[in-house]
Amino acid sequence: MKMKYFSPLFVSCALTLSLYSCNDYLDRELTSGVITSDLIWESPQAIQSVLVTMYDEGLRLDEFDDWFTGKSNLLNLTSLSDEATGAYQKDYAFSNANSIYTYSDYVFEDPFASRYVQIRRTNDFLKKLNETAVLSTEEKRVIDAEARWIRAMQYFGLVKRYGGVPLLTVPQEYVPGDFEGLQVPRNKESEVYDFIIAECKAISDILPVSRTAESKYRASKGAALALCSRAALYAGSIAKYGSNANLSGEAVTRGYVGIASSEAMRYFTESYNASKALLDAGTYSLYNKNADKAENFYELFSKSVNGDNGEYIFQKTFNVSAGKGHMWDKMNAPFSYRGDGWGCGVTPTLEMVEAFEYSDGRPGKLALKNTDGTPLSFDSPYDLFAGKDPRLFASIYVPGAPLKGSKVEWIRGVINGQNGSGQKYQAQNQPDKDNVATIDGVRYNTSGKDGGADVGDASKTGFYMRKFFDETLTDMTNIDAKRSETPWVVFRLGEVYLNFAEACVELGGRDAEALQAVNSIRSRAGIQPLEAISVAKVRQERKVELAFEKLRFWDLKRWRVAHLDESQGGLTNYRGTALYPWFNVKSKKFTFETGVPPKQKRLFLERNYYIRISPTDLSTNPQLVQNPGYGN
Amino acid sequence: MIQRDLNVPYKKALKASLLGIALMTSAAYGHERWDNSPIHVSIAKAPVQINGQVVDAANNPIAGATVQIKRTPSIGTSTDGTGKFSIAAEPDETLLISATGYKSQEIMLGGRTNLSIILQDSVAMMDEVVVVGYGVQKRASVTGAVASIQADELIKVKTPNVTNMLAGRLPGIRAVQRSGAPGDDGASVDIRGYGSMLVIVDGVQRDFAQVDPNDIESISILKDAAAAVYGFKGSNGVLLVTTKKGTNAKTKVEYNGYYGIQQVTRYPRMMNAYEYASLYNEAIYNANPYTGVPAYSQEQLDSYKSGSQGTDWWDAMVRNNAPQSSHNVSIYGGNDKVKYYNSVGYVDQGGILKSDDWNFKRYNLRSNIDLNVAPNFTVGFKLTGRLQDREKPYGADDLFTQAQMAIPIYNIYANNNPDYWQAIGNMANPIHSSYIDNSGYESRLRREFNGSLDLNWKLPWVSGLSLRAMVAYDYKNSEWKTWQKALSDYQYNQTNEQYTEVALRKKASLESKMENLYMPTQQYSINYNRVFGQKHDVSGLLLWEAYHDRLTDILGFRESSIGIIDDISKGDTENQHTSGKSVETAHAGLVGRFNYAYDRKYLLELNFRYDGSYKFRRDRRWGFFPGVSAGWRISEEKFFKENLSHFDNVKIRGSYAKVGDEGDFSAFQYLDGYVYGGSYVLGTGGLSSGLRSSGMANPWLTWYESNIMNLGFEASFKNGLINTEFDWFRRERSGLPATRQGTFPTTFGESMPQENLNSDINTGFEWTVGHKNKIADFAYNVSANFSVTRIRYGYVERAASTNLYDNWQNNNNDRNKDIRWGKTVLGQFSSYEDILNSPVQDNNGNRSLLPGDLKFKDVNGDGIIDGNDVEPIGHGATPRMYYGLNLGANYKGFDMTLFFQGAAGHDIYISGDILDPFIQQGLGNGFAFMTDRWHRADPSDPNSEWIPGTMPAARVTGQADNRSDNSWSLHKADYLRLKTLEVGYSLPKSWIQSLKIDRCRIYFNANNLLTFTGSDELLKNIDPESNQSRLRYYPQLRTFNLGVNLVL
Repeated sequence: MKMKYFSPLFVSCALTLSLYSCNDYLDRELTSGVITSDLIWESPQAIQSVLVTMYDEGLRLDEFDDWFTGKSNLLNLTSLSDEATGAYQKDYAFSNANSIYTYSDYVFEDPFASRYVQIRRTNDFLKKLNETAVLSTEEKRVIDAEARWIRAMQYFGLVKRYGGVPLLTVPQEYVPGDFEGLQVPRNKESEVYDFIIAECKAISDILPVSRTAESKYRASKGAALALCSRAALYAGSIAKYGSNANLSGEAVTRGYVGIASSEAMRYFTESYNASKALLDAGTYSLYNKNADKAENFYELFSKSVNGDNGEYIFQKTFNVSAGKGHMWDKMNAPFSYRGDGWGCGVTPTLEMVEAFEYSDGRPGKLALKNTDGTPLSFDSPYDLFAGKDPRLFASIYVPGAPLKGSKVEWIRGVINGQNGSGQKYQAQNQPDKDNVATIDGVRYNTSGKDGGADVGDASKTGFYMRKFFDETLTDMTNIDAKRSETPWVVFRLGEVYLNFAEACVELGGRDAEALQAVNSIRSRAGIQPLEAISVAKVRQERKVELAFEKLRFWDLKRWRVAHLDESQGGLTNYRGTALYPWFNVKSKKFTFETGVPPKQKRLFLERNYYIRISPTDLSTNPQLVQNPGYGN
Repeated sequence: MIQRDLNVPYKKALKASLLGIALMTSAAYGHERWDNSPIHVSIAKAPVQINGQVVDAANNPIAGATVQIKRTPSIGTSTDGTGKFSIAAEPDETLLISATGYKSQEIMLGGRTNLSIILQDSVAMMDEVVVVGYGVQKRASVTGAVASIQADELIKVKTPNVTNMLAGRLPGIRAVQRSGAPGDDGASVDIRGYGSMLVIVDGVQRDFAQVDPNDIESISILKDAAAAVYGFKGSNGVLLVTTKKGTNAKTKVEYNGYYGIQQVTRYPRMMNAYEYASLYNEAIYNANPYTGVPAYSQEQLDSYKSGSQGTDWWDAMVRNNAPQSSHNVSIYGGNDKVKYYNSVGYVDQGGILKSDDWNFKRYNLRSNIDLNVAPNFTVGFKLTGRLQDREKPYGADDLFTQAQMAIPIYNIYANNNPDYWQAIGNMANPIHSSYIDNSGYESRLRREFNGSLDLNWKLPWVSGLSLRAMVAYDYKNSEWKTWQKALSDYQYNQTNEQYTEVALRKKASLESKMENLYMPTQQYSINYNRVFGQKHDVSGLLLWEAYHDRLTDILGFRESSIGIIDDISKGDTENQHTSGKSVETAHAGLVGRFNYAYDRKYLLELNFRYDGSYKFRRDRRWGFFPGVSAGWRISEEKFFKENLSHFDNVKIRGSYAKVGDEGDFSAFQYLDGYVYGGSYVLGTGGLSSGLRSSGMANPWLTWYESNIMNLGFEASFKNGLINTEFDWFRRERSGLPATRQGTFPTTFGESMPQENLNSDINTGFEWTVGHKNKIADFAYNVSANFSVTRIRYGYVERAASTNLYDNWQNNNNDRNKDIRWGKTVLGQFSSYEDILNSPVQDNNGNRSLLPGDLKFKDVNGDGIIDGNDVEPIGHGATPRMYYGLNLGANYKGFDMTLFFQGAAGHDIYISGDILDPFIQQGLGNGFAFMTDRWHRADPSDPNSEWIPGTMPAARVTGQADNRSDNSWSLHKADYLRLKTLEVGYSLPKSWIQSLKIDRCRIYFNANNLLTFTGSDELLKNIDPESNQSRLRYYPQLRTFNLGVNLVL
């Protein structure tokens, strides 16, 4: 009988034992890939690695690969400003030429959920940094300042989109069940700007003036001052011009959006001081090494000097061989210079081209016709642009511009005649398809290799962007491979000169300083200096000097001109104009016409000055007040 | 034993044949019998030929019944399709006749040479065993909702993928096939809409889709408390696949094979060159009524109409008939010492590309061997090897898009010069890139090895008690290679008479990925099974199981400037990169089950599982999942037997179980720390790698719970003349994973871990009814099944609604799942007046609209149609109702099966840019159904009248509103399909006997032969199982097959 029950008992015991040891069998933590916090904060190397990701993911930079609503829609800060328009058909603003593109309430949406994750990580980093023992006090002081600079950038990214947002500077603690304790109201727009300015001022004394080679792309004193210069200037303009846009409601009365006009001078002074400190220190200088002015200005932004030009104060650097690149060239190459499709993305308009003056100081309007109204003829389309500001040729590929041993060719079609009269044969297809006209038995291409028709992907305006384009890059294959490594400029001394000039003219009584600053820019550019200065002249200089650096859109907003009609310098009814070169078969010369690209007219509403706070942000926090003009 | 003597040389010849390992294994075990069998010399009397027929109680012939000589079970045969058999035996032998589902019978020959044997089946049906969790049960004593199907029914659908054989077969199974792509054509399958189920093949968690269907003995599904023994994993139901085993019978060699052709069921035609060009011109006029200049001249239109210019790209790329074939040879048999089933299988499924470069091949090898090594001690070996080889041109999945996009006015070659493929715009020329030689390939090679060892010891000291140990080791290796070749199409430039290259890929590249998966499983159990005093039937199971997966993969990428050799070592070092990962999982559980039946009338089952998962923290790791079920066989009651004796079985049963699940949780959410991520250039030191916070941890996370209820009723009347079964079920889940991301203020800034928050409810029923009968030589059977599932949300964690509208649209609490939202279409605008008098829907004063455009309902009545005017308009693409109807008949040697399968309660979207007249806003060709459109009588005359059509008026870039999610684009996809038609003929025994063939059946079979989808015109072009709103998919297929089943 005993034997009979022995076996089951034995097996049961064995099972029970294995149940206990089974917890070990189930432990697979080592394969989880999670490194626990205690290990991180004991290692200076690991702490730096956390900082690395804060630079990478925690900094919001309006840089190369930032596209709103997906890259194929070609909506970025350049194509949404009056500098350029998207080229492809998939671009929202394409065709349906009789309908209107309304600046979407969501296009700049940057939900709090994704931004505050980064802010929390920064706050958490600052807190834990303070507690760690592995770094010396001095090391901690500098890293602390660096993280605070990142946080100031994070808040600047939010405030220029939303106005005032909740200012959180320590990681919130969650007491289970207590959600209300976490619901914080918005701070005033001015409070956020004040925070950024105060932080920048405080950390500018801690951050090093210059860094060692291994750290040279990290934040420095200059980066703090440049942020202060820009942020205070934005705040000053919002205070001064805010009343130009008619916004009302709770968010306005509580100061969540808008700044009292009485504050304008204080902010302009802050900006003036920060810019002046940077200019006076002499740490940075305007890049001026190439005697060819156009090439000099192009080089400033190109991969050849890689940002090491003495002018960049803060930049984002790439390293393709290690796996970090971007797609700028792939997305924007002129049609015949593309690799495996894409390309042509954002294309400048004629308005942008004409914003560049002639180098002798004449206004930039192009002369297309004789006084009698007949078109002027040119041997090459490129000749039309002779004498323009060298920065035009550095920033934009105009028809006939040299590129990679050939020329950018954009022709609207051929004319069986001369001086623009005669039968026209217009390009009907994308350049790689049939575009042929047979005139007197001779076949002519009606399209340039880089465009001419209204259909397809090529530029619809006749122009392409050159600034930042890497002319040495040969391999643009495979859309997902990021092969470009031109650095992205975040702050450069050129902008600081213009911030300084703008603060001077806004403050008044400082025209001489302003004039000198603007002329420093103009003489480096190779264009006639100004003799007198005004707000309009500073803004004009900003438009051409800083073209495509993704600052123009914010400028139009802070000056509160974006909602105006295009004739008043706004974005409403702006479509962008095209320039059409025609080849005259009889005279073998080119004549020009302006044209209307197949793009929608735009409508910028006053409420678009502040973007809509997303429903999720509102619903999780009843304390938040929606921006003017939007429903919940 | 003449028969056997003849067999030996035949088998030896076979052994030497190409059949390889399978046969050799079988021969190795078979040898003992051939060489040592004493029978060979002990025969005294001359055997005579015995002929007979085996039929059931209704006089239906029973095919495949085993006929053995009792004294020498190794000698045997089986009945043919007409139930007939022939065997050589001594006149005084006793024959043993057995068949699955019938009571075995012994027949003393007593000198008879011609027999008619009736096997009793009705009670036997109840004696039939069903595979349940960790064991088998008699059908009569099953108290849970268990459905099963035998292999011979299953394999009537001729397709390599087992998942496609299930639809309509097993009540409760929901299966939808989304694609017909070779090797990737599996249906998505679930049980009662519960979500992805646990699949067990021969006792071990494994994939079943690619098991050779010929090797399958049966498939069972556990739908209720019966699944609770699988703990964590059983909450979505369990599908159990059992492969064939050897029987105690003489060795047989069986061949099953078919050859067939596959055709596209439905796919809409694209416009031809003339239709395209005329519509394009019309579209230009429509958008620019007074200024439009046609893109194509009359001369061009004429050349398209005459066919002298232009291409039907779909037709040029796709062939009408793609071949498929399947072959399986199995050798099985056994004796008291050893039983074996060995097989080799081969499947070759061709793709529909004319290039013949999209293919799937599968090779299977299986050896299931059971040994009686000692009295009461058996050892089982199961070894399976499988190789799946799928190859297709690089970017093959885009070919269907390319064929849609390719403009039909172009010829295949630029300037008709075969050296230059015509460039068609933004995508590759589909004909060019449909060849591996041109575009490269995507290959996937999957090797799988499954092995298990099963020890079973009946303890001699305790009657009914046995111990069992099973260890299995599965190894899977997958090899992906993606070889992209440089690819250029050409444009012929008429001005300089040169070809311009349009490069689609300038450089070749190779991505090579290797994945290894190791899955050891162990099970140790104690089984007890005994009947006390003839009335108390007691059985029990206690089992310990542990399994652990380890997955590693590594990927290498290199470009190749030379582009000739597709080997990772031959590429460029510039831009090369690698990546990989390693993942481990572990699970363990203690299973218990207790069954008690009193007098076969009152049935009770209690079961539980104590289960642990690696995903949770130590103290939240273990869960206890109990189940209970009970049944009452009313038909066994005395009063019932006396009054209603025609009923063979009437049973009421019910079950309740509480099971868990961990499937939707990501592992290790209890850990707080940092993970690798991010990189930045800090200075001259190159790129620095970063670390990022892993987010907030949740140490309390644990399995979520399902409460599963089932009530069932089954009845069978007059030996199965009519039988029916009904099941009602309800599953309530709570603690489903959700994050409080929606309730935490977003400014809190932490990504929330999952928590046990949400709940949902599935309810539904299944009903089957069957009937079989025989009238003279004509026997037939009918069975139908019907199942319905409804899924509701219970609690759904979300932020407080910001307003009533938000609450209406987004608050899913206590709401049915599977609701589609969109704009309701009232109709099409009939005139400009209609457009002007309607709410503004294009954000532009309706100026962009034309007659024929969709007119939306202004739900909130504010005069503007926008995102606030959406409302529920239909359902998702997974049917809520499934039904199957099986009709079988045989007459003499002929047999016929008709199997209808259908589904209802689902909608498919045909929307997005395919509703542009020219796909992708003017870039591509359009579907031919677009030509039935609203248009002006004379397109070039803006004053001519509008002629109505089905589709809106054409514009080159389409009209954005027509593309939006709306009720007009949503189509009710209820369907009924003649899934299978099979007609077979079994050659009379007398013909084949002399060839020593036991059975020879030839058949013709068609799958997806007919599909009915109601009156929806658009849906007539589209397969109702499609879920691709843009129709860019490999279409479902109809197949015609000719096959043979041969048993030696």
